[in-house]
Amino acid sequence: MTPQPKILVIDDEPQIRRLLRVAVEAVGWKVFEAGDGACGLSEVAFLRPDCIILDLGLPDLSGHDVLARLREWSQIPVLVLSVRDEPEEKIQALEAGADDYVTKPFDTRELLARCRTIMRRRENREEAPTFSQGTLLVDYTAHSVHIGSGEIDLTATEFSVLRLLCLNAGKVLTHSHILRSIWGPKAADQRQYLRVYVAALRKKLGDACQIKTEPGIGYRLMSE
Amino acid sequence: MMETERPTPEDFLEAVHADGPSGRGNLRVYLGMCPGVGKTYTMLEDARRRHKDGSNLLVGWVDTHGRSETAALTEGLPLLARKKLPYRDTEVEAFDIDAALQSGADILLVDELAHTNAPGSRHPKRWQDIEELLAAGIDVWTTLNIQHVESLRDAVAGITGVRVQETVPDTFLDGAHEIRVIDLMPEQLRERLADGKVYMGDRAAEAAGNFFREGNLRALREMALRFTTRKVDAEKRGYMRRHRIAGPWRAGERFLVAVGPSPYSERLIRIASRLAQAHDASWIALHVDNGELPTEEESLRLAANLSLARALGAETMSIAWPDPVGGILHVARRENITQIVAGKALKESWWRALFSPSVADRLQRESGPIDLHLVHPDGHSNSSHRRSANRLNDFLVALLILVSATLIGFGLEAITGHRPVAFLYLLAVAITGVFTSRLATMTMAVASGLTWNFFFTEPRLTFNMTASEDVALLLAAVLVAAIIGHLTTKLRERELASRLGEERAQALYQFTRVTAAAPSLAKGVTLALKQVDELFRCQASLLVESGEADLTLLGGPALDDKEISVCRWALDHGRQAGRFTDTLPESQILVLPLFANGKPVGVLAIRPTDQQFSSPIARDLLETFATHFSVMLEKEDYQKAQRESALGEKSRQFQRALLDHVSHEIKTPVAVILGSSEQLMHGSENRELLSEIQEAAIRLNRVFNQLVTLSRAEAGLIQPEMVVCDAHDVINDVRSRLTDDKIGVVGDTFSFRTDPSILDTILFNLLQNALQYGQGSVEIQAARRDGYTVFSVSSAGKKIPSQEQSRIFERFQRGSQAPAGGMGLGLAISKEFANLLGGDIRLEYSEMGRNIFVIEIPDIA
Repeated sequence: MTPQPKILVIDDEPQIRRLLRVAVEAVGWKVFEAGDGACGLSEVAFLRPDCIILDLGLPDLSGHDVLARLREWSQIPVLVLSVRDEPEEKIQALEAGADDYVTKPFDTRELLARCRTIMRRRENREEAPTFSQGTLLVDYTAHSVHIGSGEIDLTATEFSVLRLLCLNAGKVLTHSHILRSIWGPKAADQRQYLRVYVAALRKKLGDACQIKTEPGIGYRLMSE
Repeated sequence: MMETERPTPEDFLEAVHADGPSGRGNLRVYLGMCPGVGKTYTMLEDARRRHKDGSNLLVGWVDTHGRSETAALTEGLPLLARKKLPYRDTEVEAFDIDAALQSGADILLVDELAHTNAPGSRHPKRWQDIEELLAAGIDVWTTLNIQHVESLRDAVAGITGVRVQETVPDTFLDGAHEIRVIDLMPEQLRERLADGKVYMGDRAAEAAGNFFREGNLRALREMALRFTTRKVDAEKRGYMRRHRIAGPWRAGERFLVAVGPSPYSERLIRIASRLAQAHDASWIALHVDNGELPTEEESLRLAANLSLARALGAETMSIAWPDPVGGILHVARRENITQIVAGKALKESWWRALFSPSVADRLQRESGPIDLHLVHPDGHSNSSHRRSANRLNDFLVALLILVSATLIGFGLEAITGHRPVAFLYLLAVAITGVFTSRLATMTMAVASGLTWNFFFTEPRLTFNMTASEDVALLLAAVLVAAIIGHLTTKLRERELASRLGEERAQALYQFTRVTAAAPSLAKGVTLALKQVDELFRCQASLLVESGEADLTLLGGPALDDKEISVCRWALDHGRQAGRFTDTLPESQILVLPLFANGKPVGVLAIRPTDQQFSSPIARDLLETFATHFSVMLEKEDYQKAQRESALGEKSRQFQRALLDHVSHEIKTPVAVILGSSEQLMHGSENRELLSEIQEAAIRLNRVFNQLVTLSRAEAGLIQPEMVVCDAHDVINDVRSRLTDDKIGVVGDTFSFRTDPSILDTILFNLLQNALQYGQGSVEIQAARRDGYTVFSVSSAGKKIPSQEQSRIFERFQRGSQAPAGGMGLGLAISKEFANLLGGDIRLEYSEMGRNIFVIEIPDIA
């Protein structure tokens, strides 16, 4: 992580932008603002920010359009900030490449924590062969999972699900994304498969790792 | 094996039926061998018991026939008032079916199932009334004597010599839930008769000598008991089948009987019905329409025969086929018929035997594996005479041709000698075949042979011949003439049949083409009714259901109240009614129900000019037309549903926009307040956060006020109160609350009547809107213009695109270039309030590049 991350806020509400500026500057990060989608996209290209906070209700383009255009050429982490809290909205944004989704009104500290998580995951994602968090150690190459010194026996599918969650620790993965990645495109609607495997994982891993259910959306591996 | 073990789908249907179909009432029949056995008495006794147990029971109709014991039983039971019907000069009492349907009774007692209703009743027969009661879910108890059962009528007539006219179809009795036989020993009955308990006075003695002879009674008793046994047996077998108990029933026998317009067919139908019952088999009554046009009498008799077959439980069919035997066998193979019932040939003429084998002979030869029952006709066949009147014309034509040929023959003979004249006669026979019936052609063949012989061969003017060549020529000529005649008539009949089919197809094609091309339902209906008028030469009306109990005339002449009630019945029951049907046959109109998506939505009412639709076959084409009308209505129905769903979609979109906007407008300031206060609590020293909180709170308050104001206006809670005001006073009040020095006031002041608080809200919203979205200064002007007070609020800015102009006054609509904030309610409220004052708002754009909102308020006296 760069010592002073650059955050771009794309929101048409001046009050929200001002509030976020105060909050972000308080933790020592740099803030840039854009009042609409077109402006936001050109700022991204120009500034190369480390994280983008994106509102869905913009006057010119919808937030979904901004996200889609951005993902054509950039993998910069995006946190969606919106008043809409229907699961469909969230799934649509997450599937389109958003890294996280926060609804207004929001807790500024939680918002910043989530920004931090998605920025860190980008760095981790590159080539780390293992994932460790607390007592949990997942070795992707050896296909092994340890809690403390004890090895946990997982089936191949259980391991695939855990690996996907660990690679995206902190990020909400939609049901269909997980199903497609592990069982293939035809299984995208078979949520009951996933429920069974997640239940098994929770039982086997116990407190060492928290897989949180996002109701109606998917799962998230909680990261510190 | 399979068929005996596994219940067929029909069995399950039957089972569902037997276990009490949803909503249908149960029928209990008290069956007796003859009058006086105590059916009504037993029924009333049962009724008293049930009444005491608290059943909701009603006596709909009971005939006590003056028997005091029976009359005493009705006392204390609730009775339905009888309806009075005008009949000639007097009045007759009748069962009131409408009152019965509305009575709300669970069990209804209706005596005398076989009764024929008085003219002017809804149904001709009482059993049809009861059918309607059952369909309405009411349980019915009724009484019946065995001689009134349709299939037993002939048998009873054979025993007693009395042929009853009033019968009840077996199919109706098959639907009975319970048949109770009221049995009495014949001796006991005769005793009761002697005691005067059955008939009073002289009638008793007369009856004892005739109908109530002991032999008759024994036979009738046996018949009643047998009938009941058969019903019990059928129930038992139904039970066995449903519970997969293997039993000795026959699998899959199917009977077919050919039905024509002859009275002889009636006997065939009854025999087929009995055979089918004995075999526990289904049966079909088939009419083959060979293209010959029936006389009026014939088509009536055919209709009667077909409805008799239906009443006896047959499935009736009609097929267009030039050759009756071919038609019968075609249907027999298609329907997997195992046995055909046909009549033995009647008296046959020698030439008929030579050239056209009887139906029975051909069936025997061509039916293959199908069994045949040949039935002998009983005495009263008169079918050989039936066509004579019709064919008189044919013989006249033949005679004319014969005379002409003979006259030409005289001329020809002078040139060629007498033999070529024989060929002239051959030609004449062929021509006759083209124009007339087969019988006339055959007669012509023989007559022309004889004429040639008489006039042209030696010795002349006798039927004797001297030259043996002439004899040979005569025989050959007659034979050839007969063959040619046979072939040409056959050809013509075929052509006639196909032309008939062609005409129908053409009519249908026309109808479909015209209606499909119609731009609207109303236009389509008009065109379609015109087609019906042209084709059938009779008036037709189309009515559709509208609302609860209303029928709307879509096209055609209006109907009177009585006819409307026929339409109503047809619509409610989804069945044909009116003339030529079983329901309200005395009406002048024939009503066909029209269905859309399976439920009746309208009716086609036809006013037939004569007997044209008396037979089901003639109604065939009409029914097809009705189907097309149904399709038209269905299409309309579908389009309506589509429009409604589009409307629903629009309202859902509006709801969604409302939710989106309201939640955005409320959540944003709440997010600011929460976020700012949270940071202040965690030690932020930033003072700006406090002003953020205040701004957000003001914004929340504004949203809240706008929503409340709009709701109040919508709920009608705001009533204008008019007072005299000064224009500049009102404007200055508004300005003072906006604390913005960019607002300039133009023009002079004046006094006018208005509700100042409402006007204040309008101007406040407009000015705020102008300050927020406009550029530079805002101007407000008040003016008087012929009967109107006009305020205009203007601000410099870009022209609002014309497609957006009409939408800016709608709720939750914000201009595409509008900056963040605002719910799109301000202008909507202004418009709503201007309407409250009787005025309106519009947006104009001036040459100077300014948007001007113009409010016009009329002076109200």
